[in-house]
Amino acid sequence: MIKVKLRLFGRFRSFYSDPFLEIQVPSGSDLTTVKTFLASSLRKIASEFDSQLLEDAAFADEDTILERDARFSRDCEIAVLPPVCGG
Amino acid sequence: MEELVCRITDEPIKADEILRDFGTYEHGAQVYFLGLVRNHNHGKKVLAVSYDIFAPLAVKVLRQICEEARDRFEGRAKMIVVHREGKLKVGDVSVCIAVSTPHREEAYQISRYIIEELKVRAPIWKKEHYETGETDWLQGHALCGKEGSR
Repeated sequence: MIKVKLRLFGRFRSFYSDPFLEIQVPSGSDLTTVKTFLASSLRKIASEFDSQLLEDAAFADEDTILERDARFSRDCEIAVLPPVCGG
Repeated sequence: MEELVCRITDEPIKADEILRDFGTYEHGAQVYFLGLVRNHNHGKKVLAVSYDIFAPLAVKVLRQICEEARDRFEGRAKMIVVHREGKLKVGDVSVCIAVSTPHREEAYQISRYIIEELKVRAPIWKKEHYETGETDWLQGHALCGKEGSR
């Protein structure tokens, strides 16, 4: 298992006040697996968690939005980005 | 001043300071856009807005948008984009976009392009604080349909 430190933004903060949430996933997991584990964690923390928010979310590092087939084989930190609305 | 400046700040945006020494005598047009916190939204009285920003990626996205605008409209354009983060009260400046070009048409086009793309591509989120004491994160545009994560 590896540790994935997820940095939460926007509406995700309604469900978990800490900006970071750490989950453990099998080494080699893709983004879909990370989403599944994250959804499970958020449902345990907040029963009102709306899984559609996660369906609409993108994942990113500090340089770019990650592709769905991105894989994680070591401990890492990624950002969870709900739909945006700047300006 | 650099040809392109994009940054996120938690300090009040002072347009006069940002625009000091902006432009060049080779350019005959400057367009400034300021986004302000409005006192209402969807029938609710708004007292303040909190901006949450993934700053490292936001700066990169803003630079990418500006470079696209240059390629599309005017390669000699100078641009400044500054976005505020943190809690802002009604009337505070949330975003400042300044564009300098040889002619006005391209300055207007670039300014419009930057703000419209910023709203749907930059990792920035708004939470409104209402007179009732309630708060709400605003609906937005999904990044997963833009690039990657499809």
